[in-house]
Amino acid sequence: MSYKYLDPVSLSKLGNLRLKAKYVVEGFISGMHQSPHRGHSLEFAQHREYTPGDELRHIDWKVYGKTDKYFVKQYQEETNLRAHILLDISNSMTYKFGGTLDKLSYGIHLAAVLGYLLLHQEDSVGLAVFDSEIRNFIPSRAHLGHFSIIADALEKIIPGKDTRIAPVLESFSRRIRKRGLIIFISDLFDEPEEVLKTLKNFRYQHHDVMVIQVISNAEREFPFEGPLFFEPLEGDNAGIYSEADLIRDEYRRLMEEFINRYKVGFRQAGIDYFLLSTDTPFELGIRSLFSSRADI
Amino acid sequence: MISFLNPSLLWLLPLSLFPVILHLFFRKKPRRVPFSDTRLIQLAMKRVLPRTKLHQWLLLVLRCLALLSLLLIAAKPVGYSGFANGNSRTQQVILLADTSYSMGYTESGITRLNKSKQFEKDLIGDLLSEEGEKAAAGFKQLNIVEFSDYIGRALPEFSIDAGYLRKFVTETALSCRTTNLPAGLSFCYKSFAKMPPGNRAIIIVTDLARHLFPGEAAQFNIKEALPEYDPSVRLMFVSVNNGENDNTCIENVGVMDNPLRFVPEIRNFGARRGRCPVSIDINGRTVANDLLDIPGDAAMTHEFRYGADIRDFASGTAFIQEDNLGADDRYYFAQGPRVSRSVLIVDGDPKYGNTLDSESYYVNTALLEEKLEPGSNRFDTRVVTAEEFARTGLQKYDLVILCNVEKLPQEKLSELSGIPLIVTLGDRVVPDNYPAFLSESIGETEKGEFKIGELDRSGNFVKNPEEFELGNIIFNRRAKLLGGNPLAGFNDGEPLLIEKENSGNKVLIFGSSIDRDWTNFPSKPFYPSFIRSIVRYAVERQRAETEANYLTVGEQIKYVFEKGDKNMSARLILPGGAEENLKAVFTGSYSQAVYEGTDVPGMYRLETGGKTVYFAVNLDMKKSESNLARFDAPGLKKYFPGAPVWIMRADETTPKNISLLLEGKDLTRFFLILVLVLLAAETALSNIKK
Repeated sequence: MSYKYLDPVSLSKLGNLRLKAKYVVEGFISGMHQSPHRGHSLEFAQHREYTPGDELRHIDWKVYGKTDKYFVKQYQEETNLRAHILLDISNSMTYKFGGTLDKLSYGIHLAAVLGYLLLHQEDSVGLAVFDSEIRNFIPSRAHLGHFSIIADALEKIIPGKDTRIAPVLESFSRRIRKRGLIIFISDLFDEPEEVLKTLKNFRYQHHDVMVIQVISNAEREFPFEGPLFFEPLEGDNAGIYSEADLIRDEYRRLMEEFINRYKVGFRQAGIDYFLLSTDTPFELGIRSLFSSRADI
Repeated sequence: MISFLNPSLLWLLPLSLFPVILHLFFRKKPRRVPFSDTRLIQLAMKRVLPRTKLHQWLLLVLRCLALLSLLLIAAKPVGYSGFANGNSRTQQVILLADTSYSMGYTESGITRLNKSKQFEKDLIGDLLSEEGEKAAAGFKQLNIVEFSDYIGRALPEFSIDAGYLRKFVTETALSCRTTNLPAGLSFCYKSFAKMPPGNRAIIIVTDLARHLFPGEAAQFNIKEALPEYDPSVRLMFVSVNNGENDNTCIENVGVMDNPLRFVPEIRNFGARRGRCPVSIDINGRTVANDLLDIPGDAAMTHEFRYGADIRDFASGTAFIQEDNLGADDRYYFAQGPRVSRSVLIVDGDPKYGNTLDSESYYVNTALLEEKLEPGSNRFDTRVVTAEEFARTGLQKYDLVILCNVEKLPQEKLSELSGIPLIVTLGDRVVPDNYPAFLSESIGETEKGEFKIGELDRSGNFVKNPEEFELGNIIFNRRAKLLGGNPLAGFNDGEPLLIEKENSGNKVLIFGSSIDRDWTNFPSKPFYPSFIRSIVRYAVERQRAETEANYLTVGEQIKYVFEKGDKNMSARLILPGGAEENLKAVFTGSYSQAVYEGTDVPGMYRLETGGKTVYFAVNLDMKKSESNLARFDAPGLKKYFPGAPVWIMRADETTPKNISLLLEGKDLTRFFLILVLVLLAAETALSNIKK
């Protein structure tokens, strides 16, 4: 049976988060070709004598040919990746337009899918949710049962206050000791220079960083018409009156500049950057992530 | 400098601020929408706003200006640059005053002519100040011309004397003529052509009725009707017509004999049905009256039978109750002069002892049927034989009829000069014994059974032939008639009666016998009428045109004196009682007296040598002057391509407006173009992408 991916809104109605994540991941995996990179680091460390229960595919047949004895290969990093998922739960992430998912829900689903996928691959995964500060921190663990803890935490998220990315990242950097992969999910509606600077620091600390910017299509295309009063979901100002038709072109130009600033900045810093909109199916989103990263 | 012909509308100018009021107080409340982060929106607004504000203010200004221009157009702006046309200072104005009889229509107690005169005086006062300052500077010059279907009075030259001009207007009187505007305009253009260059205008004060121009604008060729047409001359039509159109008139009165009847034709031009009393006066005495019910916009006739003989009737008047236009409520009619004609009948086969069979018996009897009293005959006849004919002098005869005469001697032919001749045939006639112009037309005789076909080709001498049993008239013999002008024919197409000319004299040739030798015609009821008709045709047609006694106003009265009349003068009594003495003038063939002054309708009575002749002069009802339907104003402009034309109603403000127009330039078109430009700019600006 061929797998058909669901749009994010339809998926969000499927059931609990565990089920949804499993659904997505299995669908994703079934659609993928045999990957040579399956959850193990490829770096060979040593041989050890075969004991019943070891996988036959790890038997080094060359050694058997020489010694008539069965030995299995042992690899350098048997315990794989240590990933930390940081999810922005500030007010701006609650924005939605039309019939799409709001950014926070999309981010939650994305975090759940990534978490499940990584755990499924026997990588360790941790979770931190933040707005102006870290609201919840779950250390990374590698067993599949850890997903329930992560899923619970994701399901219980309540949108927070305003965004303050830079201080949050600084605080987070003090919590993790070992090198790992940092998956940062946010709309990045903050000062770009500060965000870039703080994320670069993770690179200096030899962490791998992946930034996933989640925005609504409306935030990019500005499909509004006529005179409107825009009420911000974050910030102190009361709002702004505007003739949408008059400013549309200029807004789009500014939005592209904003996105490009991050794109260029992250590329320069060696940080993987992905832009996803809330109407992109999760499978396609993950595919785009995997197509550029070999170690997930 | 700008002035306005409708300054009261300037009070509406604040309405041009309506777009600003809408913009400030009636803006649509914006809808509130949540947005994640408004910083980019703020930044976009900051960059776009200055341009946007300018754009919006420009739109507002354009809309206000467009509204303002529309309001100014409604107020009818007139601009002054000092002089309206070119560099000339002189204003040359002709007042063309309509004096046709439709201007006699009374509305609200005043005739249109009097209203027109009052307006003209007011206009003179406005155009020429009493002090004469501007006039003294030669700035304005006026002339006044009265017109109907001809040019009435006109000042000999342009004047600047307001008092003199007003006096001229006061003396303007109504004519009884119809309207011919092109004739009036032609006179004006010719007058201008004699003047030095200047700003010119013709102000036509008229009732602006539909009869102003015959036909439609599409058929009117300005170059043919007005060769002097100058489109630079401004034309201002001032209407004194309030729109009332109720008018009833008598268009015609028919007079019929046997029995004597009078049939007036009455037309109601109004929209409403009306009851109309009609009366007939005969010889100055009312003899009949009735009350007619005439539908709106319709005509009807009514027959009044008069018991007396036609010879008792000389003149009469039909009249209806006088309405708002009294001039067309009377119609005059008269009987033509009764004169005797001397007719010589030459009997070529007298049949002594049996006059009934003589050639001349029936024709003589037919002519004498009108003889009832001595001295009042229509025809005085004398019958002679062919031998006696040779010895008879012909000078005193009006007509000679040859009935089956063997020959016409050459010497008698010269005596016939000036006398019409009728030749009838029979078995005595020898064509070769007739002069060539007659013999060439008389062909072979033939036997058969021939009937009358086309009876009256000329249409001049047989009335109501369908009343007679023409089918019972049989010709057993006839002669073929050749050449000439056929006046009647047989049913096989051969001519029965032809007309020829001999040295200016009329000659009729009848293609059969005039007695019962070749035909049963003399025994039929039609015979006497036919004979009298062709005799009258031969004798009186030459005189008919000179003795018409039904005339329209302006036509000449002509009276032709009889041969042998000793008294070659006449006394003409005009409708008002005044008298004119008329002297005879010899035309070469007859003597006549002419009178040119039929300016008013009525009965004109001419007396000469004991005879009285009546001439009925009426208004020209064929020109539809009595139809007072108003001209379609936009349609009027189409008659004058290229010329500035204004159409106004005569009221208190019109003289002032005319003054303004004469001195200034109508700016309506300029503001109209401005509105279009502003609207185009507003549309373009609205669609520009910021």
